[in-house]
Amino acid sequence: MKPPILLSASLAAGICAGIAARWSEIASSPSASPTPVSDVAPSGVSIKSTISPLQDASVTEEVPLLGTSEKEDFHSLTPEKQRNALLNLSTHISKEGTCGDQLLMARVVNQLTFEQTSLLLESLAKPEDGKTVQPAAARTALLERLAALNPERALELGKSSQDPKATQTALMALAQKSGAEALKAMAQLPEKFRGSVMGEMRQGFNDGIGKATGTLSELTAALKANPELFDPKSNAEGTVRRLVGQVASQAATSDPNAAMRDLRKMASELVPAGENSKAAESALVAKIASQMTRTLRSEGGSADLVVFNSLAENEKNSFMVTLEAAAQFRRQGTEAAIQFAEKQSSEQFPKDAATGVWWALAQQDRPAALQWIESLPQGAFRDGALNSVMQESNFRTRSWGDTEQSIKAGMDLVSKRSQLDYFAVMAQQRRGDGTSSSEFISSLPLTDADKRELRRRMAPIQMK
Amino acid sequence: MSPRILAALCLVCAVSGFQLVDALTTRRTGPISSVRVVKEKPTATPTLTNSPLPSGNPSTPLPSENLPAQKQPQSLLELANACEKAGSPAQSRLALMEAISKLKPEELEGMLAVEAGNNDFFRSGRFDFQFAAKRLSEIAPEKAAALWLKTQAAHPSSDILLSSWAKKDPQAFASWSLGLPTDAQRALSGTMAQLVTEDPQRLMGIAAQLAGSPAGVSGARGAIAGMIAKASKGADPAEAIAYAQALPEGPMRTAALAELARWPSLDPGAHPEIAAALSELSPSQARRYLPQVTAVADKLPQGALRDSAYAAQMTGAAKKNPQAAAQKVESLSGTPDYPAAVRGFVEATATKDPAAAIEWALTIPQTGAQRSAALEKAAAAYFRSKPADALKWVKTAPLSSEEYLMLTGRTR
Repeated sequence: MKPPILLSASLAAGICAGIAARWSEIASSPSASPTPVSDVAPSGVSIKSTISPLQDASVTEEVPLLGTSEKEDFHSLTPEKQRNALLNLSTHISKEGTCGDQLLMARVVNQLTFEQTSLLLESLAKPEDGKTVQPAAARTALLERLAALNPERALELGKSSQDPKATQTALMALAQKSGAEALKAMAQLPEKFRGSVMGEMRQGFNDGIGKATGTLSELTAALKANPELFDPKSNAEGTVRRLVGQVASQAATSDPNAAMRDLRKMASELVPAGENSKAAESALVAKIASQMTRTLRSEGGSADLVVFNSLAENEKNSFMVTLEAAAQFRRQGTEAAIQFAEKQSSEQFPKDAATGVWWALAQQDRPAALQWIESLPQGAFRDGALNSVMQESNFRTRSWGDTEQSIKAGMDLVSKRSQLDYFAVMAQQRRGDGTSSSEFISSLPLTDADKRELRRRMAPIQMK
Repeated sequence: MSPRILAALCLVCAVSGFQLVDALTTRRTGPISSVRVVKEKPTATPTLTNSPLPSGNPSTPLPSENLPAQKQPQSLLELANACEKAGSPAQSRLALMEAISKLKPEELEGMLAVEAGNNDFFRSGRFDFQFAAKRLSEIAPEKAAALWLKTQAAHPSSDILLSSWAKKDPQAFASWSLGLPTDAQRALSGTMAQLVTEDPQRLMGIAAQLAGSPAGVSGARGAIAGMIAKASKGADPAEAIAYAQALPEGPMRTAALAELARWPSLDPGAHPEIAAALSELSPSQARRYLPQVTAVADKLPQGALRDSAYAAQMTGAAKKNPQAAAQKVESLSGTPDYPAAVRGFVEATATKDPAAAIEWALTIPQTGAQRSAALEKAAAAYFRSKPADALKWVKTAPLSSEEYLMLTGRTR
């Protein structure tokens, strides 16, 4: 080969080698580029040294493992080293762990096989020096890994070991594959054990990771076969409600009217015919719709309003109305929100709607919201707004149930009339602070004449 | 050309090829370039050394199998929903953490700011928000703190925006807090309590700074709560008492000493410093310690807390055995504790027998808060159950003008 040809060929080969190397790295599989052991906390090495400073939250610091600088895969470590590394990392996460630590835990656990995961869980449960350690983060990550790899098998393990957390993680993974299958599995759990599992699972649903899938008709069939799950007295009802709510919300995202039709059909099929069947159906619809509006509000769009508007008065509750009114205000402004409030036919709901509207307005401009109260006519809407002043204050200052903070919020109101109305509402609504109305009124920073006026309003014996 | 030069050229070209691919892959990506969703099979597990967490670093993109190439998530919610497609909850969580960890501070800040306006009241409690907020607190605490000020009123779980920073640099956190409006300082109570509950010594370094701040009071209470959580039944509280007494004099020290009333099996009556701190609290604050002091009411100094403790003691006793409780109340006649004891007795019996309860209330000799409260409770129950009898009673009852006004809203 002549030198120029050799040169060109060599250069081309060099370029190709570079491209190939980089693509190969980008597309690398777990086995091709596993996590170096030096990145996890190994036995004998302080966790501190493997966790980088908080500011950069990097987990890339190189720490030799037990005197060796060679990188090893986490999944190829001995079970003892894996256990120790997870224990250290878990302890660190529980104390001052960073996002990097959480991610590192998820990454290394993600390399494990079912058998490795299962063995590690067993070894973590064994007492060490007579003490049983509770590495919550490691345990949760391992249980979720087990469930990810084989939810059915993980469920069997959870059931056989009577472990609520293990069973819950398996059920969550199962629900993500099929909500109906998860319901059937729940039904098979012994009742007492199911109570513990359901408690764990409610938190799992609230966390928002892992959504149940399927259709309402599939869920209906599963619940028809296992009606005890949806019994209001059942220990599973709250969890089942969340699961059904997730599936119904997904359906409502594309067609809220159809989803509500399906939900009503579900209710009619699940509630046995009888004297109070209509009321029971409404109660069931109300519970699921409450979950749906909450989820759909979060997703944006207006599907939540479609769901809300399709409900009868007895299918709504105060909290639902408050949140929907706040959402209306944010989307369409004051006028639309007031119209929404006025449309509510019960006596209580306009008040609840006002609570939501005022709260949302206060998030934008609290002084303006306080001034707005002065323009409201006496009535339920104004009472609701005044009630919201108290709630917003407790919320904003994280001082729930603190009478002194609520009094301070009342003194922020613009006019004396509003202050007295507010304190009258507050005197009725105080719960459990142990003082009588007269003591409460005495403690207010008001003039004697104002206190007398409040006492007149709060008098327990109403003379004709 | 010498073989050495040729080899060097090949190396240069190989590096160029490597960089070319890098450049191409970088150009393909959008603003949230490193956000990709991973599926379990095949799971792309980049080495930790190749995909470092700090934002802004070019990192190896993970295979995108579920997201349409043209549509990258523009909000945290979209990102979380996209990651849902990664597989099981564990895989979704991993994909989400990977994606969030690669966002630049300004991207994270923008996404979290959008969530602050989310119509879901519970939005900040979800894992994606919590992880993103914690991450922002780690990499850009000043942005996180500014965002907290904007979001905290609307979202109860947004305090996580501060927690990492507060733990990392308590001094800076304390200094920053003192520049906030009083209401915002109050809102730091949860963060402060969390900070010192884990490690009470954290408070010592900032106690002097926070002596006049509402957050300091929460911190003092939280520090003692942390010690109590670790104390076993019968443990000696001496160290905790010494800790509380080392705090700056004023509301912080009072709060810490009062919190010690919850120490396992501690008799607040046997510790005058704790009893004195309890008696300094306002009635509504003192009520949180009622379960601990009710049984030792007679050992407390005279004042609002002792009154509340006696009242609670008699309410409990009257619910169990009204006759025995009545005898106990009688036995206190003539003592300073009698009014509170009668009040407690009336609280328990007013609904069952309001006419008798109101007569009991009238036995409280002097006018004052206990008599007013007992009369009010009994009169309200009387009017609810027998309005005509209550109206008849109030017209002739031996009430002062003030009491008549309080019960009827009218002057006699």
